[in-house]
Amino acid sequence: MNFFRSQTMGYYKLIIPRESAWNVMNELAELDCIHFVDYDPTLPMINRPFANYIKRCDDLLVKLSLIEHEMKKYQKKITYCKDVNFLIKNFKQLIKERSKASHTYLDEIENDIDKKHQQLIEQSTNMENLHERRNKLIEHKSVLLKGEALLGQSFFQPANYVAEGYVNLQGKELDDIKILQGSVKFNYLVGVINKEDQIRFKRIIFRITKGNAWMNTMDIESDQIVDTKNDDAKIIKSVFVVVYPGGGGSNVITNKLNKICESFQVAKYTFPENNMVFQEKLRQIETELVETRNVHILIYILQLKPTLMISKEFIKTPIVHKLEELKLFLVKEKYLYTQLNYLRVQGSVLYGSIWLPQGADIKVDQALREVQTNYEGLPTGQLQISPPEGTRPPPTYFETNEITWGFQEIVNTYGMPRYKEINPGLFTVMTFPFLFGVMFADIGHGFCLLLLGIYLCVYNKEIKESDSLMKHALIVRHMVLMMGFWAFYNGWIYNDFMSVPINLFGSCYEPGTVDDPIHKDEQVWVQKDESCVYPFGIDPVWMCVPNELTFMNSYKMKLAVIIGVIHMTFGIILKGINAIYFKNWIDFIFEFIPQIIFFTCTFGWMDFLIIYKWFVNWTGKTDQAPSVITLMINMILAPAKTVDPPLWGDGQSEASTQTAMLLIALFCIPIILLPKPLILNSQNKKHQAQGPNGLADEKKELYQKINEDSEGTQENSEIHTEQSGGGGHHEEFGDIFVHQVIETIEFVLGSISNTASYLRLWALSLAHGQLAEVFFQMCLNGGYSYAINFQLLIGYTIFSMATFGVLMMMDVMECFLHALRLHWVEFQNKFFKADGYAFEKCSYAKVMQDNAVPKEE
Amino acid sequence: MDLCVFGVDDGYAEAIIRGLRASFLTEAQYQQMKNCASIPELKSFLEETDYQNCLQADNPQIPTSILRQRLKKKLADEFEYIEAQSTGTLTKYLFHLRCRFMIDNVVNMIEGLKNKIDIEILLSNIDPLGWFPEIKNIKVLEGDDYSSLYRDVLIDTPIGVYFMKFLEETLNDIQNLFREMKPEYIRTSLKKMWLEDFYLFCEQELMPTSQEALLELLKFEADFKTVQVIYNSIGNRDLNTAAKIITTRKQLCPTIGNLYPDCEKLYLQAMTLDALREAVKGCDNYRDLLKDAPDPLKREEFNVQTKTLDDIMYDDECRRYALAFDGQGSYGVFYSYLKLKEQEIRNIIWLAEMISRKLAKNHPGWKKIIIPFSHLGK
Repeated sequence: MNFFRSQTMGYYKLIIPRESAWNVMNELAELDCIHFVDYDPTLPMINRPFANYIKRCDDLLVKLSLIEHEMKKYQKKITYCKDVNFLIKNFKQLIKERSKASHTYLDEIENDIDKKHQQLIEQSTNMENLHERRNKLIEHKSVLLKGEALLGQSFFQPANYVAEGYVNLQGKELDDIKILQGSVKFNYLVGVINKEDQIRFKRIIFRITKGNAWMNTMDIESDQIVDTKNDDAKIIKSVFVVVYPGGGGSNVITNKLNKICESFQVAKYTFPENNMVFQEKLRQIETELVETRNVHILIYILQLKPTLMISKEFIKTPIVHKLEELKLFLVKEKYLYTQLNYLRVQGSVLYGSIWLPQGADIKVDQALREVQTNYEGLPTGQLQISPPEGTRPPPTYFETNEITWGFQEIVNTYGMPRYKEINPGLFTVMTFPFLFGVMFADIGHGFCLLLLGIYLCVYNKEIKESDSLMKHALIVRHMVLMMGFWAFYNGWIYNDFMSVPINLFGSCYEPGTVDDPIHKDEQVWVQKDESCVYPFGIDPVWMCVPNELTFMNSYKMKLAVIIGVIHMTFGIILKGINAIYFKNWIDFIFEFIPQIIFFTCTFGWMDFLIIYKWFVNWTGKTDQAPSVITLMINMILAPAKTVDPPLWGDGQSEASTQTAMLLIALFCIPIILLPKPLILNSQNKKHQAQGPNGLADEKKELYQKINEDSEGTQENSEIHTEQSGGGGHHEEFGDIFVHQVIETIEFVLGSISNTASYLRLWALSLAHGQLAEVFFQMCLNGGYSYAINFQLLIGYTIFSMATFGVLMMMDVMECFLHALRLHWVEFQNKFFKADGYAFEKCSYAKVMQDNAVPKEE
Repeated sequence: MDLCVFGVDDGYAEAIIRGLRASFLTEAQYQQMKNCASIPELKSFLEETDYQNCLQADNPQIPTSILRQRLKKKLADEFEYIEAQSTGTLTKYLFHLRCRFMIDNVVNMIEGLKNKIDIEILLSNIDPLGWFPEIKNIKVLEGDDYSSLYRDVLIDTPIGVYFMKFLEETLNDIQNLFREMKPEYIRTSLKKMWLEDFYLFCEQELMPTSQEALLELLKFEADFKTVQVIYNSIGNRDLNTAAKIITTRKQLCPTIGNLYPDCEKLYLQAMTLDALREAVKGCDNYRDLLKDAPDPLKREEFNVQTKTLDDIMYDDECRRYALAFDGQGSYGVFYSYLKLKEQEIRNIIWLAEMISRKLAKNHPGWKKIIIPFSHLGK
């Protein structure tokens, strides 16, 4: 019955001596069955005793990720962990083999990682510096080459300027300037600038020289200069040449230009004045470039590579990269200390409160004993049973398996079941795929979904190991399988194969003729044999008659309502069972009983009418068949009147039955409304009479305590009182009554609107059928007569794409959502309280699993 | 009408801002910060709040200046994101908002250069909200030659306009040519121009709902500036003659707000705090605000405990911004967000200073923080 109601929880006190806290906790966390209760949720984590350990783990994790980053940069492969449990076992082994105290392993790792990190940083800065130098050389080389291109060979010809003076350079071409060179001395400014600054630089140069300068730029090939500090991003730089007139170095403009260059962080270079120097310089740079490249490679091979070869140095587990192993170990360690932080420290002992599922206490006891045998000389912890503290009820815990997990998740998304409340998840396993199937009813489409489900289930292992996208669907494979099955099954019931019925068993009707001369040309279907009934589902002949849609709609609608009423009645019954379980007799007698009576007398009656009507053979007297809707409306509007046309007999008995039903239903409403609040109120009064002073005293004491507390903790205790104050059950009568009024209205009106809501079972199925028909008619029907030809080919392509995209993707999604809604709203509001909270077991496997997957980048 | 279509262009940006509302520190969190005993503790506390990511890489003993820089960087990043997501008028509006920080940066740079502080240090201290590429080039400034600075560098920048106006105004005045201009003076006049310009922008380009919210805020801000200028000039030794005081005041007081022009004559001539109180009594709750302000003539006696005029004004400002933040469908929310976050950063820095000086917990300075949104609950 574990899945029907949540597991029985026991509240225990855990007492751990501080010196063995790590060992005990390590042992306990491996059990995967303890829920630690935070002794003071308002206390921030940083103020707790083990906060510095957590901090250390965090720091180390950051360092590790830096190392990882570096490794990725140099294309080292990292194998990620696939089997976390294996790793946990490995860690255990590792700790056991060490002679020192086990929690000191963290210190050891810390040292290792720190050292590695230090080394790596040093070496990568070396690399970066080298890179920087190389970039500088490339820049210089480019300046020479581009500068030559920009200035032209003639620059090197001996300049024999005559005078210094002011020359207007505005709007002149370089060639003009060269002609001027004979008469005026020019200054040259050559350098490299970031391409993005280029335009602003040009503008400022223009403004400073008042336009009296000539400037040109040329980009350096983009792939040459690499910014190692910034993840090898490419920087685009360009060489610029500024020519401006002017004399010696003390020139104002030169000064200003220099300042500007500095502020732009421009690298200035001197341009050699004659060809010989130029060639010499170029050669020199070339050799230096080669040199740096050699040094570069040398440093990489001799220093960086061995540092990065972490795996060789530490390797112990062949399946995981050491880096990953360290990371997971730190994650585990951090988790351990986080859990330890939930315990209260008093002197040299840690006190903790825990929730344990029934039977787990033996396991915990055993684990505690094991600590003693494994680590000699260490005191072990103690487990004591104790009465629960605080107002919080026990956590809700269901053990799920691969099949039930998905359905339980559907329920949990709406709300965690209250402790020991009936778990709707159990029923969802069956009803959810079924209701989905009613809406998605189609033999063909259902079969596709079923195939997908089968594929996922059968090739589970293969897909899990592959990189296929299907991997993400694996977790819901059983759900898909069941949804597919029910869609397939209901498709047979509706006899609908992508809008075409299948004549599998042979229809009971055959084409015939009518004697009536007016309707002579009409196609008429004649029953072959009086007793012939189509064995399963709807007779395919309905496809060929003009009132097909009317018939199918009426049929599906009725089916939807019947399913809905059954589903909701079931929900109400669950409420009754819950009331019995919690021994809440008020709820049972004054809520459950009147509710179920109300519901059966109204909508149960309607279902009865529908089914009764199906059993009557109306052949030949179709005009006498009463409409169920009219019957229901008249039941309310004209209750005592004789029913005409009657469903059975002369209408008298029917009228009296329905009047009785109505009266009973109406009588139930005040029963739901009144007694419960009155009884609750009198109970409350009794409680208050018993201890009117007790509560006030308690409060007074609390306030006194707060006042005595020092300033710092005042906030905490205040919050605390608020919380415990909110848990009290002493509500005003008005509140209780209003609450009950709302409940009653919700139930009465809800029963109508919820029943109507179940019509979505019909509506979606109709939509699905119509869509399928449209695609079929539009794309394929025209192709029949042409046999195989081009038109059919195109038609078929469109048909299959539409079927896949619209029906298999969108419609599946839509039906899924509607099934979800039917469960969350219509079914669960009948009984489900959903105010529990989850049992969070302390588990290494879980946190490690969460961190084992590499983050997508 | 504009409420219907507000969401079309600006809905996303507004939604982001509303989401960021959750990142404000709560009173309980301030309480916890006050309980921190050292800077590393404060830092690790901040790492549990929304400021987590911007501090992670730093050393625990973080200097206050770096801390401020980090916090501001985060704010600037958020603002930049919103700016990138905005279109049309909102983009212009947000850009206008940033101009205020640009002015601050430029003046800080000028001040720093005059004091011969290394450019690298100056650049690392600029407010990231007011960063623009030309800021580096302010280096070309030589002496007091602001006009060539304007011509060479600032002419191209967003705040060039204000600088030009400033130069026109001051340089026409022969007196000013010979006086060495204080950067603080430049800052105040530039900001005044910016405020007037921004006010004009809001008045002309924004939708009525935004206008309503913003003009109210800007008027108060203008009044705040006016009162500040008057207050600070009372008993100022540099301005020895009455005529000089009045001309300076006239130059620095914004020509918008609730006080202008009705009370202008009165406040320009107010030479004591009482006269100033008298001058502003017609407006809003200014009189109440000034009631508690300490006398500027006793400036020498001020200490950490004094609740200065700025503190009082900031407090009132904070209340208004918090109210404006809750207004729907207006650009006021962006402005308020920026202002309130600035206040939050000021608070954190203040607390960090208090903590690093190891002041006793009953020191009145601990109470000198203004918590955004704390006014709304009451």
